[in-house]
Amino acid sequence: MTEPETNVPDVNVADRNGPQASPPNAVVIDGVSRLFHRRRRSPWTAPTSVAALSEVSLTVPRQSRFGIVGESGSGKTTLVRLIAALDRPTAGRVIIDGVDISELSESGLRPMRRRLQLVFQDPMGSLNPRMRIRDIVAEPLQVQGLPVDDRVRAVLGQVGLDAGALHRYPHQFSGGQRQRISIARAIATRPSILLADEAVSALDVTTRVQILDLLDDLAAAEDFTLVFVSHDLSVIRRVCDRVAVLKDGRIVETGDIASVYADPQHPYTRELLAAVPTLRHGLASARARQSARAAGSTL
Amino acid sequence: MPTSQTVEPILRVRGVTVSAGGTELVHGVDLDLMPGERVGIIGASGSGKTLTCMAVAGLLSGGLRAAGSIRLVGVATDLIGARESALAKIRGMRIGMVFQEPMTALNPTMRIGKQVAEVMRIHGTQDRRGAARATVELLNQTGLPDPERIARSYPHQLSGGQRQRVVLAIAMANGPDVLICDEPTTALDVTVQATVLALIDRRVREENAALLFISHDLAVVAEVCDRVLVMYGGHVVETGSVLQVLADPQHPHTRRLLADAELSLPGAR
Amino acid sequence: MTAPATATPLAVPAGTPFRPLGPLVYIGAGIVAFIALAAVVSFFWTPFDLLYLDYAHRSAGPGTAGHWLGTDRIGRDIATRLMVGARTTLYVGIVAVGIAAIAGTPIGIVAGMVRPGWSEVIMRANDVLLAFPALLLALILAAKYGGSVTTAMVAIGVASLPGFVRVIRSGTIQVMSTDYVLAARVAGRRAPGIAARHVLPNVSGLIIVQASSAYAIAILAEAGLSFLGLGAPASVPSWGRMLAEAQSLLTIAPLTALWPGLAIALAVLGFNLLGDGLRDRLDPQLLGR
Repeated sequence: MTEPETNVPDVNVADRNGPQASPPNAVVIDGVSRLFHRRRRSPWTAPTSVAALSEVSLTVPRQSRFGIVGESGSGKTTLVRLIAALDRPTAGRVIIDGVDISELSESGLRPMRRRLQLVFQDPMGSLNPRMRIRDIVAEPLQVQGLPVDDRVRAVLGQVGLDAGALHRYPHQFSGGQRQRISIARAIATRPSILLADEAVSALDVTTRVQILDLLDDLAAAEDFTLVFVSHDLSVIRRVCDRVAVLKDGRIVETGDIASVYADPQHPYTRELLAAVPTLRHGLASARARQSARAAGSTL
Repeated sequence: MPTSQTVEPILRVRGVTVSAGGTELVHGVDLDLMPGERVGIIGASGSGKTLTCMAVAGLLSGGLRAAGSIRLVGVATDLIGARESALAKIRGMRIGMVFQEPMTALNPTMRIGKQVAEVMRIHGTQDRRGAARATVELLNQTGLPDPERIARSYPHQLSGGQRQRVVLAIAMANGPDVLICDEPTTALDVTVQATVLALIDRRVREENAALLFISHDLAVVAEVCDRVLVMYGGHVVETGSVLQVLADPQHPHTRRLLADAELSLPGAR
Repeated sequence: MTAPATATPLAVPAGTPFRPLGPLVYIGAGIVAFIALAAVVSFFWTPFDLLYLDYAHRSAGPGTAGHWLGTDRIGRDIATRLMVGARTTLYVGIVAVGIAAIAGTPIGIVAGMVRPGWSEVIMRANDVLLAFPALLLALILAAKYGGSVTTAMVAIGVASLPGFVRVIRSGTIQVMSTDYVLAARVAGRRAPGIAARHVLPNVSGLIIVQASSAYAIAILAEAGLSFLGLGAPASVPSWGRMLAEAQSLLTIAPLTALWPGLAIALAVLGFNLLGDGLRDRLDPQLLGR
């Protein structure tokens, strides 16, 4: 049975991006901290804790492409888990599409699940090796009780895979193709937010560009908000319009991507920018080595 | 670094093919590596660059077979078809290797110091006490803080960048003639990548080793290499100096790689 | 402007290991198949009738009067009894391992999915069971219900259970840490669905491996229990009982004891080789890579 757009209960109206249910911001992180308790060393000392995130606040406007840059240990994984409602903050609020999810129960989260989907880093580990592509892409639809078959074909087409892929297994695809499958699964339920966690870090440069372009096209076509998390500023620059820089569990800089790139304020942002390998820098190093060698041989 | 009079390459690769079952995956690769020369092999995943290097190191697994000729100076036999015992003598001694994943390259149950010392003990270049001393020195040379403490640690107690430094220390322990690096920085953070690249650059210079550096990222290769081989579909499609290839790429695939490496090229978006 | 994804010049799927099965697996499979064949054939044909007593040739050596492997002290054909005994061995093993697998797999999966505190509780209870000797359990059951094939099966099954729980739990923890499970959670799938669709298919290899190893132990345990008279009754031929009966004549007719002993050793070896080979092949660490 197809559900008509009209005469659906109120709850569902909020679920679809109906006109009255469009808060201006897709994601609001409001003073969020997340502490992890360390195992106590001895029964006499008090257990210590580490803050993976400390009072992080950020706002992702609807239909923007928002980048979060952070290296390992910056707390970006924790932040991703909080936004995806896989974890709860110790303090603060996580608001997705106007709904505070930090207090919701697992069943209360269920309708939210369809609106926020995730794309992972590892194209190998994010697809169940024992499931066919059709079943992998169908899973979010089945769980949400949505019609499956036509949608699976449609989203596979959108990511550039034909129907021949349906009955094959993940290991029969290249890394880039697997990442396309992962994206197809993520957009199947027509989410309003797509969270990409290092989604191109495991891919080679050529595939990386293709996947970034695909995400770019899909964000425009499907009208979702893209939150792109990466350790690589150049990747963020390619797809995002805003960026937040995360270091040691805190946001050290946030702003428009062009201005952060052109005029980084925080020393860490400058360090990140300098470390990105570029052809221009590589060329300069190669030239320097060559002239050093020429000087050496003439001596 | 003086340009020596030796014209003989330290490593001579001729017509190397790698095949799995009946399918040929790498088609006739030729490569001369001069002493102290740095050569990069770039290509997308599946281009055959890793298979080529595994063939050079004699590390092809199970159903993969190499043919052709690989000669290393000072070794009487061809490395292709050589016995495993002969290859084992060369690996870790004449050829050092650094892999992509610094976690799996180290034994999680062994202290770092023991793992570094082991490679010297296996090849008999140091006795027990000498190896222990050399280990601390090697760890120190890779810029690890407090090498004595690092030597007593287990791999999981170190960060990814530190682990990759340890792997490099092991690779350089016996002063190899050739260092093979297979995507050594791909699994690392951007800022860590920069420091590890600088370290590889410095250590190769200090030991006067030749470098074979595999990466999908031309910008990374340009940081450390003089010459590049571009591979595509199992073929070497272009070869030349880094400056030449970067400034004036000939093969369409090389141009593609150049464009893709530079994510922020104007007009790309 | 997205380029088509068709340009995959070289598809060596990194996930397909070029990993041939070693010859030992085939030897193991061959032994197991041979024993199974002997058991099946025994339903239709045996060298002699199971109940035939050749008084003229008691404790005879191999080859005497058509008895391939000789006769026991009351003139029963050893080859015939070994073939029929294989039925008992395989049957007890299948049921015992089946009990352990059917009960142990869900317990292991639950232990791998619940919060660490609850997991600890399950595992400590499991350790208690592990520490409880199967023999003692068999004695208790035999004392209460009388020694029978059933008590042997239940005792061996319960004794093999902790092994399954352990192995399946560690496999489950590994699967639960993967991104595809995270993706399923993000999609809104609940724990039972994740267990059925993601965990179970990915630990199924482990179940097979563990089953073949447990089978080897079950054979040994069944023989031991029958030897002590706690397993199959005298009317049912069983390798363990044959060994027990031969014991008293060990000095006079040592071969009578040799044959069932060899059969037990061979069966254990076969299942162990098979299990080890399958472990190398089906290890989940090699699976999803």
